[in-house]
Amino acid sequence: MGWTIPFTLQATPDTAPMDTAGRWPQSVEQFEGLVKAVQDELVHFAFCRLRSLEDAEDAVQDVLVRAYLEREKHRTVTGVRPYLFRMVANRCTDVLRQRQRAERRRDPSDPADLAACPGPDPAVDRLDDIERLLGRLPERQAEAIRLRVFGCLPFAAIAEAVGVSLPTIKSRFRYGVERLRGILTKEAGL
Amino acid sequence: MTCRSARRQMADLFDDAAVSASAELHAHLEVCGACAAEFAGARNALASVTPVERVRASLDFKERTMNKLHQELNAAPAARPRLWARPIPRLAFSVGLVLAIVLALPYFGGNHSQSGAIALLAQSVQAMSSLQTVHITARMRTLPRDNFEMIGLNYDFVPVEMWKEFGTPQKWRIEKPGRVVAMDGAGSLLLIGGNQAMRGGARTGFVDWLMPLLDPDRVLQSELLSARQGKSQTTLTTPTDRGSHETMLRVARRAEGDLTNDWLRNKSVLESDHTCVYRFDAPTNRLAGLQVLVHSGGQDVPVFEITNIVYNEPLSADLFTPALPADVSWMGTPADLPVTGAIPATPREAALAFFEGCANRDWQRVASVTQLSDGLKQDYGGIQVVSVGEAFQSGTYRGWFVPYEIRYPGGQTKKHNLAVRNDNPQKRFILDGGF
Repeated sequence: MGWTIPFTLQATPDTAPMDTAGRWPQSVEQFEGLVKAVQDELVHFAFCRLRSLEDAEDAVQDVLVRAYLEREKHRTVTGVRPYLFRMVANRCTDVLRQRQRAERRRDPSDPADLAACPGPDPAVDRLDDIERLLGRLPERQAEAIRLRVFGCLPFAAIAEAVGVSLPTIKSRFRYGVERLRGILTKEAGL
Repeated sequence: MTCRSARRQMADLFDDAAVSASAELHAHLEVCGACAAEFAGARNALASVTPVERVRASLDFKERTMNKLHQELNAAPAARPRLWARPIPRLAFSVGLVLAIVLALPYFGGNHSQSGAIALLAQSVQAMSSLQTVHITARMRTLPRDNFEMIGLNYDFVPVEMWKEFGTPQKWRIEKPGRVVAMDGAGSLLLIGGNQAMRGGARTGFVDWLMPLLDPDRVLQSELLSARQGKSQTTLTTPTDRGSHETMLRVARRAEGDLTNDWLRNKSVLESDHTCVYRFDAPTNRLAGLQVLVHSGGQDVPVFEITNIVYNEPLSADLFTPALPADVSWMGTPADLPVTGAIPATPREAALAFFEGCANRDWQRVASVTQLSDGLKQDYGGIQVVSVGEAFQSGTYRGWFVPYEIRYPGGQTKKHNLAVRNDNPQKRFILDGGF
């Protein structure tokens, strides 16, 4: 038989990840190359947080364009990829806060809002569950897990993105996973 | 190594594949059941926060981002009040697309007027964007049951049929003998051989190369951008040039991926030097046909041909929700594989686990790299392993191939390459085919 069984549900990005020691783009051509190299992984990362492809692409687009417009400021940054993940993570946090504010202002009885409710989407439901679990962890531990699982960043790059040492990020990850296990065990009633 | 230090280092086991944990840690896990159980528990916990599918940026994402950057750069001298507080509307992208067409013109060859090409391509994109449904009948040199990407220059043509319903949510179905994928708007279902099934999300990659054909407007955009970026050679022939009612767009493209080892050359359209010949109906500017020719050994071999396209025909809702057979057998994912015993750390180790496990009927070892079935046990139990070579990569495939030679109990031998990959959330090396 050929390769008939699509075991792999989660494909890796098409393009090879950028060298974490890559230089900040200083020309439009370099910027275009950067967009091509990181677009899929950044959009996936943002999608996991925002649970909307449209919002995720808007967030990543904002970050990338800002990254180029502020290229002088970042000229000395050596780890472009981790830095971009940090920028996207921050942008996602902003978007989520904006949503919360909008939610507080919303009239739940407004029929227009009811009609706008999207239909069920198992992938998004799954992300809701994931965020519900990660939301019960200390933010720093959740951040380490998100960058590793959603962003597929190696721990060294996560440490660079967060601005802490490698042992610190590994500890946060380990304690986060331990706490997660505790939550899951409790939820399973074991 | 003590259990305490092993658990302190356990995060290393979840680091990037390129950053391997120490051999001492692996050795400890092999002999310490408690730590192995800790590791398995941690892995299961992580699986609970791992998304089931991976989304990608839209095909036009880079283009939109570059357009936005140019807008920002052009607007830079003036005041820029909150320019990026709003997403670029679809209309703006259409304007950008027409601009892209204009910019693409220098890359078009052939005998056409530039204004005619602009009009044709812009109108084609506009015509496609009003689609309600599309139903494509085609034929492809591929194997029944096998994956939708596979082609073979010597294979017979098999029928392929595709449907898509646009709207919210979009639904689609692709089918060839022995293999069906249907997406009902919420999730997808893969059926192989009538009774093997697997569920996936709306964007699970059960189909790759064929998918863009279900978005004919995207095909055109993609080809335009490709021409603009110099990735393909494009020739446009308008009806007045040929005295017919059809416009032809020929797009020649080189094989993708690293084919230093050419195992995958000509085994998929993308991994072959090929030409796509699109036909558009001139009065409506609608896509009317496509033929894909692979260039090999100085010959052009047709490997894919659209034989009919019907637009906006009513489609039955049942089409997107195929009935499951009573004897359905669900295929597993890497997360379903057991974690007991040694877990292969390289593609070759995965191949050895499979073949040596089959040879010794050590099904627990085999189960560490693939899902067991009665058929597999029957076909491979007691084989003799003649050789297992070093792993190599080829084309755009994200995994590895491991050359092997085995002898079946009946004496027949087989030399082939086993496909192994680990681009799953668990980073496990699992078999992907080739056996």
